Amino acid sequence: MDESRSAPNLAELAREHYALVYRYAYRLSGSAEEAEDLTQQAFLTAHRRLHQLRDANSAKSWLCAILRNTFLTRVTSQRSLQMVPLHGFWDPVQEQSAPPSFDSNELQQVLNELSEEFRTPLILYYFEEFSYREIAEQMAVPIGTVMSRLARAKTHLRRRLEALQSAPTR
Amino acid sequence: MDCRRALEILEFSDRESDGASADFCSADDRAAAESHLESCAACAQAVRNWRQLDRAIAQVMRAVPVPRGAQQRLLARLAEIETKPVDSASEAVASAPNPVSDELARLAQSSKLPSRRRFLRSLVPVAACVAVAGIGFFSVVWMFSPRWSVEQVSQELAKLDFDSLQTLGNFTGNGAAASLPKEPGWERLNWEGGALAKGLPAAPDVIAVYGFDIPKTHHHGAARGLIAVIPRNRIRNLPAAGSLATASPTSEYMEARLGESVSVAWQEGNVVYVCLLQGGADSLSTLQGILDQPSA
Repeated sequence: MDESRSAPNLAELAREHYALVYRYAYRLSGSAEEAEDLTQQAFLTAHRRLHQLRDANSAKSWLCAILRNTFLTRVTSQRSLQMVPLHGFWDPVQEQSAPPSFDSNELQQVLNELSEEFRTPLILYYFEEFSYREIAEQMAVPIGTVMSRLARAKTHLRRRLEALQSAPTR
Repeated sequence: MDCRRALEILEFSDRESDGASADFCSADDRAAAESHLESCAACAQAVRNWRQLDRAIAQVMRAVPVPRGAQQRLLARLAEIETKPVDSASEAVASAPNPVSDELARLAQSSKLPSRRRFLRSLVPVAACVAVAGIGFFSVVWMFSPRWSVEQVSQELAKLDFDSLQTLGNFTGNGAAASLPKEPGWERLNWEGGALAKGLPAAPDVIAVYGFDIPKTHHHGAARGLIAVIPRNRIRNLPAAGSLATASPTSEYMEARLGESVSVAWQEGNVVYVCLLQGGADSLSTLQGILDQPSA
C-alpha cells in the first residue's frame, strides 16, 4: 500500500476537524441538516483537492475556506439571505450591564440577520479565534476590509444581544 | 486622545498577534489608548463590558452539538470513494511495460532531430533569458512605482480645500486616466471648474481630481464632493464595487479621520474612482439618488 495516498490523510483530517467544520457550517447556515450536508460536501471537495494542501498545519484554515466556498455556492443559487442595515459602529459609552446571558439559538438568530460578508468574519473571529490576517486570507479580501466588517458586525451583534437581554420576555 | 479613537484602537488591537492593525495604529497609539482608559471611567467601563460580552459570545458560539454518527457517516463515505478509483487492475496497467510510450521516450531523447527543430530548441534558453529579464525589468519598474491605498487617496482628498480647488494645478498625466465614470448621470453633475481635471497635489501626474457641487432642489438634497481618478495598477487594495450604486463607504476607520465626510471607492475599466462626499453617509444616498434620476 502506498503511504502517500490521500485516503488516510483525509480520514485523519476528518477525524480531527469534523466537529470544527460542522460547527462552522451550522453557524453559517443556521440549520443542523444543512450543516451536515455542507460539511460532507466540503470534505468531499477536500478529498479532490487534497494535493493543494501543502502544509498540514494550515488544514484548519483550508477546510474552513472550502466549507465557506461550498456554502457560498449554495446560497448564491438560493439567494435567500436577508440583510439588516449595519449602522456606525462605535458606542463610546455603554451603561454597565449585568453578566451577559443568551443562548445558542438567540445568538444564531442574530447571526442569521447578517449578510454572509459580515457573518463569516464574525464566526471565524469568535469561534476559532482566527487572526485578522487568517480571516482575510480565507475570505480573499484585504485585512482592512476584514477589520472594518468585523467592527460593524461586532457592534451589531453586541447591540442585538444586549437588546435581547433587556427584552421584557427574558 | 478622545474616547472614540481610544476605543477604536483598543477594539482593533485587542486580540491581535500578527501586527495586522499596524497600518491603523502604532504602538504609541495603543499605549495612549491604554492610558486613556485610566483617566476615563466611561471608556474603561465600556471596554470591560464588551470584553465580558465577547467572552460570552465566543463561548456560546462554540456551543453547537455535533449530531451523533455524522462523523462516522462521512468517514464511511470517504472510505467508499477511496476504494473506487484505485483498483488492482488499474495499478497493474500503470506499472506494466508500455512499448509505445517507451518508443516515444527513446525518440524524445534521440539527437537525430531535424536541423530546424534543433535550431528552435537552441533558442529556448535564449527566449527564457529574455523573458526572465523582461519580467525582472517590469517587476522593478512596478515595485518602484508608488502605489496608494484607497484610504490614502481618501485622506489626500480630505486635505483639499474644496473652495480653492481651482487653484490646484491641472492634471499632467495621461488624459485617458482621468476619465469620468461612464455611468449615466455623472456627466450631468454641476462640476466645479467645468469638469477640468486637476492634479492631486500628492501625485499631480497620476491622480486626477474633479469637484462637484449640486445644489438642493425640491427633488433631492445637496451633494458636494471630490472625485479622484487613479489608474487601476496604482492602487494597492482594489475596491470590489463596480459602480457608485453598489459601493459602500470605504472604511469605518476613515469616518473618524475624515470628519463629516464619507469616502466610497469603486473600479471601472482601468481606473479606480475614490469619491469623498461632504456630509456623511446621508450624502452618499443623496448622490446615488441624484445619479439615478432621469435628469439632474
